[in-house]
Amino acid sequence: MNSTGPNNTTLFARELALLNREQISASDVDIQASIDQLLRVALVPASSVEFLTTLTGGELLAVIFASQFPLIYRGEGEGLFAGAERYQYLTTRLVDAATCCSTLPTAWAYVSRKLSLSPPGSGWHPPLLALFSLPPFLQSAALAATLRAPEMIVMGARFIADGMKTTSWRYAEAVDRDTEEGVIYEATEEQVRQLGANDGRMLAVRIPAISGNSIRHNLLRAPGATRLLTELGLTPDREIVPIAVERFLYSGGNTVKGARAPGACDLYEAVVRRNYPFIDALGGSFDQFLLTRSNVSVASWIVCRENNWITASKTDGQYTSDVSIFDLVSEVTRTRSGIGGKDKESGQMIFSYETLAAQTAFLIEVSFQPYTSDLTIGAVMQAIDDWQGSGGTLGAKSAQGHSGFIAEHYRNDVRQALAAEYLSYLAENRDRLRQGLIDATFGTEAVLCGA
Amino acid sequence: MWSLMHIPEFDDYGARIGELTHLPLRVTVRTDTAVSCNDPVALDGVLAYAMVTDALKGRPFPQGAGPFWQPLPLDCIRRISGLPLWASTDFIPSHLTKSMTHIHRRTSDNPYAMQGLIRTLDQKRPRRYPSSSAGPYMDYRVPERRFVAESWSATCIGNPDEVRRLLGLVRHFGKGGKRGQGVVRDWQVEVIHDFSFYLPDGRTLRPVPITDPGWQIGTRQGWTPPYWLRKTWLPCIPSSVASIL
Repeated sequence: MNSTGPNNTTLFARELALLNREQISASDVDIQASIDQLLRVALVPASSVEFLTTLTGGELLAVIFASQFPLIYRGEGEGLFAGAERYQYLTTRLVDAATCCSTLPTAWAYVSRKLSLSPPGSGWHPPLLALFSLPPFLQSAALAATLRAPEMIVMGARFIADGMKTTSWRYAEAVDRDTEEGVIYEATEEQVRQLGANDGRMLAVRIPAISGNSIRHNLLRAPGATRLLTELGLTPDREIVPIAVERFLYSGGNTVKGARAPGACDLYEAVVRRNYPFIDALGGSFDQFLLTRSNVSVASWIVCRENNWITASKTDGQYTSDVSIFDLVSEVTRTRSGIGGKDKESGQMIFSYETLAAQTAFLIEVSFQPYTSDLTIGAVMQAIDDWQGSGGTLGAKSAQGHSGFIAEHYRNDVRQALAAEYLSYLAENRDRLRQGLIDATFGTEAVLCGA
Repeated sequence: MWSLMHIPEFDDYGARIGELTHLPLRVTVRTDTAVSCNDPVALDGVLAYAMVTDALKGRPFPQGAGPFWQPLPLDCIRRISGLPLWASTDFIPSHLTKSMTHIHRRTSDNPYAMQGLIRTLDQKRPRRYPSSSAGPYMDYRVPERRFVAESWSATCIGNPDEVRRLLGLVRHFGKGGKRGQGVVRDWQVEVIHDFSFYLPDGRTLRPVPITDPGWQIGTRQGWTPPYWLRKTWLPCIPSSVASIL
């Protein structure tokens, strides 16, 4: 996922997931006392009270958290939080922080680092400490609210900070405004209720994940296509089969402009599926029509504390972790040179990307549709075997040594024997299947793939 | 209009379930991964998918012809030009949270095809290389919606045992199942007291074709399985579930 800000940081993909409250220490917390303690030390201008009452509980905490930046680094600001674009920078960094972090202290550290901010003076410690000592569940709620409406959160933060300036009569006089008082805001019953509702509901949080699309390509499609071509004596990248056929096998193909399904497309699909179990497994799109479905599905979960309730139930408790996903992700910064074009050394670019900790386990579930044939299952099992044999990479930056995996357990699957059946099938029907790919008919009477 | 067609396997299934007792039911599904869908997920659509999978033993559903008579273990409220309006609703999420992500399709992901492609095109048309921004080799970055909810519930009038059996064949809920979206944790089928797809204020919990000539406004959309078959679309009162997704 690319960062939303111009800061050359590529973040790990995130997927929305439901978490039990216990997983983020949400049980047995005195919500009212925690909020009161924060609001006693985080004064707001009297003019903002009406606005604050319109916010949800999470948004209230998020606005107070975000307002500490303009309050502390006031005036001309400092670091990147300076100048006309400082609120734009704050918005993008806050979004990244809310995406990457699960607590307010880590989010504060993230934003401070990205905006090159100095440590706050001791006078600002009370509100910050009150924010940082909020129960983790409330901190998550603040970050989730930031992600949902970052522009509104920063606008509210700016509103509070600007209002607090007018508590100084000198400033108020200079800008021709009335002097305001800093007041203690009292959270509404609804805001407390929203934050404290402990009715067994789960929380939706965006957590790092490798997309099913990526796993499907790396684990199944690419190794499966290479195996099919190799077994038929059609070495990839030698232009023996039409490039459109290679593209169909490796990328799933695409319909052409003005595509119109031929009358016999059902027959063609049935023939292709029967001839090529690999295509039956993964499906795809020919020039004129789509294959109706894919017989194999992949889903994955990082083994971490947040996913324990799923990974434990799917593996009889074998795969669980005490470590939070947010502690498994860290940032790598590199420098790239020679970016001026024509291989000219004309400058450097510093860029960062997130990585998962080494030895992090993934649970990948490969499942088949009902009535999937043995040969199709065999094609998939062979693809997994080949994936492992060719290095076992998932995700990005394998060229830099990242993303290597070792698969466990799949070899114990009794269906692994079906892979041998699949290879025998390819050997026995080699000439027919080979010709079907070379002429792009896939064994039908029509050229299906010629774009 | 259309002419209704029959498939022997579907008719055999219809004969088997013809005498089953029907009761008002609530069907609830919980998922282990986020659900991806653009439109509400219809219970009769899910059951029709399962029926087709079961009856055709995994063979693909005929694309070119139709519509086909697809019997389901549900009450038929009425028939419109031969097609059934089933007594079932769309799935309604409980405690819904929405998000958005993107899926990518890049020809350049293929280390073999891309290199060969460049050479091939280079020979045909000097100085021309595959464009990743237009044409057949264009990279796609497709937005895909994501929903998480504690559960999704729909109601119907049907046979509980047969509904339960058909749902047992459904492993993914919503779209993107091949990419791991909507992995089903469990289905629950329970008997309830009454059923209606109309809300007290007149809104509906499923698309309902407008047959009253006095109605002037409607959304042309699918209303019976398969919902994607455009030739059967009719002006409908749209499902109010669409407004919360």
